[in-house]
Amino acid sequence: MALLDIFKKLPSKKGIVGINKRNLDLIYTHNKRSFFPNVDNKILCKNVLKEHNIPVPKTLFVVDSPKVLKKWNLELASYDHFVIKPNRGFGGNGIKLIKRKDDSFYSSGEEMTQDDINFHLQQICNGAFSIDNTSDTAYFEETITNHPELSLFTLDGQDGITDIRIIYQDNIPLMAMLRAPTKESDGKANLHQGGIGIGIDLDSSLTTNGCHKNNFITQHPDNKTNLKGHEIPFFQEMLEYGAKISDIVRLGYIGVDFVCDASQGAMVLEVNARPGLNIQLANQDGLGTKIK
Amino acid sequence: MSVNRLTASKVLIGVLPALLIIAASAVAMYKIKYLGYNLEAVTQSESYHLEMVMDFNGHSSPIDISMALPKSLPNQTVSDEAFGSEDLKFSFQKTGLNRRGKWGAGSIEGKRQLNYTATIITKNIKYEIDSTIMPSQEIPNNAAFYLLPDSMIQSEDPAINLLVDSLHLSSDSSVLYNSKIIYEFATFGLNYVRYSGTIDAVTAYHLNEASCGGKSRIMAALARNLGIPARLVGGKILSSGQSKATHIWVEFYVKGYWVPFCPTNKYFAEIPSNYLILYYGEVPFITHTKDINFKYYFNLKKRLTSTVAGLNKLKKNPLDILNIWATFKKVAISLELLKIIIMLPIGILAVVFFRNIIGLETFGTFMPALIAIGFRDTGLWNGVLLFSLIMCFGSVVRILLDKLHLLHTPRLAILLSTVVLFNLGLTAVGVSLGYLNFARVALFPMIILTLTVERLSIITEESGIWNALRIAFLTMIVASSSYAIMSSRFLQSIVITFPETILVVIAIYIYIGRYSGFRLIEFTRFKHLLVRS
Repeated sequence: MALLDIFKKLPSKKGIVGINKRNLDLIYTHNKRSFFPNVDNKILCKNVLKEHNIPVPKTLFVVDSPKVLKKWNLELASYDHFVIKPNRGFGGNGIKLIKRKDDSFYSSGEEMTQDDINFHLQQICNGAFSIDNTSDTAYFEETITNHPELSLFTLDGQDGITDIRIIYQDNIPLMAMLRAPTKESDGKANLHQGGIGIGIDLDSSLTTNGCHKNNFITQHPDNKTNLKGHEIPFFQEMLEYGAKISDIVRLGYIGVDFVCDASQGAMVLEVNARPGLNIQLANQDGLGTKIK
Repeated sequence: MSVNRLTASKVLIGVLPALLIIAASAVAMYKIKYLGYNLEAVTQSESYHLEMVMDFNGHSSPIDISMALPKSLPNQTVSDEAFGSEDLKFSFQKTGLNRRGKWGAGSIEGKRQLNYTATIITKNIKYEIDSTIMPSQEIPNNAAFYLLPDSMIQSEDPAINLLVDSLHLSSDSSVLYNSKIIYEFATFGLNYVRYSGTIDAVTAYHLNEASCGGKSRIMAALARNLGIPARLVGGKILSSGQSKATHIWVEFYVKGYWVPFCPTNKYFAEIPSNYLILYYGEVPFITHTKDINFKYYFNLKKRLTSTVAGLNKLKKNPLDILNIWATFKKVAISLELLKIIIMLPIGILAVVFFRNIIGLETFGTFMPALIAIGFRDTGLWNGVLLFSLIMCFGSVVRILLDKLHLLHTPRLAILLSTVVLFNLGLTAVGVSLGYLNFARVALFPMIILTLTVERLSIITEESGIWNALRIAFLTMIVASSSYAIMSSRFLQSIVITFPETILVVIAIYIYIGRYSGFRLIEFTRFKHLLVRS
């Protein structure tokens, strides 16, 4: 018991939030279970945000029944790039970035036949990637082109997108970070898959420090770019959009993932009701000091 | 308003664990004070499930097999006896102190397997020999028989006379004194050698070495020479597993009691709790018709049963409903099943502890506890081994299935089916090799195994084989801890006697449920943040 007290006091003195504290004091107290589907269902969430004039990437085609499964090729005939996502996925699982080149399809540099894509869609619909393993819907989404100012965090010729996560408590932004893919993360910006996190100063919109796995870094591990002092384009728009979302989805503690498209500017990629804690490492600071 | 509600719930959470602990203690105190409950009354004693398996191959000839059977004695109780005799006729035979089982038939062609099973509870008995008792004690007729020399215990042989003199034994000294010298000579003066045949007292003396039988016979010969009745005891040393060996020790008659001595394993005037008496005197443990390729072995399994005395005491209890034991017996739920049910809330303490306080990642939340239940039938090490084997097999099947591009649910169904077939195969192999604990893998929870294989494969795909193996290893650690808790005899006794212990565990869960401190691994995850500033 005394030991547990130390486990409790040491991090709280330093303002670091652990998983237990996040669950007890942030998620359970701010987010009502019944409103989780508002964000877990991504198509629905995007539609609702769009109604409130918050930009989101366009949904190109929805596979919600076996009848329409094979029609995607026709519907997407005019697109050379698109993303396949599970509607109720989590942790970036089941997401595939697809490129069309001379009637062939490629994902992460590997060729995918139409049958392979059909199979992947079936897998998603069967719930292989859904948050509770129940049947799901797959959807096609337009791809984002990184804003040129953010492309310095990605490698040349590699698929992958950087995104910006801002955590809000009751409409107030607590912390922000930019997530960039690395060679190790295979184009994905998820930190647990080896992507890097870079802290963003909320007042100046400038990047600060970074983290890779559990370590602090000052340079991108692949291209050695210095991480500090880059301005995030459209950051003020992001902060504004984000501040409205809590009321829309009726969840008090959320992580909003933004992308910054070269032509369309700031857009909301998805909203997370259980945002992770690595943002503290990216900012080299604890969330505890920011919580009300 | 919301602040008030928050403080109210905080107060409730502070008070609730205390209330639960007080309630549990009150019920336990009441049961101890007014209903006569105590841990001893229901503390389980070790028992053994004894199985004797005999195989032979008949050639259309008459068959006659006889085996010494254990019976209830002060140190042992024998119950739930059962006999497997196929098409042979089984009968009991009583000869003197001994009881034998006889299997016979006029003509048998081909292989047969016979067996005898029983539940055995044994206990340790120590004897104090009064130092005033002399060899000239009064000897009743039934004991006087054990003074006579015979072909194996040649108590009047000149060699034995010589040994009596050289050890300074004398019928003028007390029985206690003589026993000590005889015991020390047989225990330490004779080298121990494992013989397969039978060695008589005089041969053992000349060789200056003996196995358990020779040591016991030389003790009997010396005792009889001094006028102390002595007899051989044949029995079995109980320990889990399969074995063939039987054991021999000796008893001296001392004023109405037969006092045991084992020079081989060094027990003076004591029968240890793992000795089972099978027969008295110079009789064979087993006899059988020749040339039938006869083979036999013992198979022993340790079990726990409540002592009869303890149970009878609680049966008189007016508050019978509080006595789970009796309640469950009424609906024919076995003690083994009851143990699983009642230990589960305690067993998942390990799961909760490792998740919320240590922060270990496992396959599924309660999966480790369910795996631990599977270990109950196979034992821990066999369980871990079998579990790993099944995981390897399942992963290979899963990789092959991936190539077929099947839908998720049918693919899981195929995986489940192959896991079932694999387990049945392991059981068949286990039975044919005689590893019965291994064979009980058929009782593993198949659906849990299948889902674990699926999780393992998905994690392998998503974050590599090393991460998957790491999580598999951590799952094993949590499952083993959970198993250790659930199979602890001490905790079982407490929980079965005082099921209100579960309220205390709930109080612990409330406490951990409100614990907002770091999980231990977060100290490494955030180590740089902790050092900074």
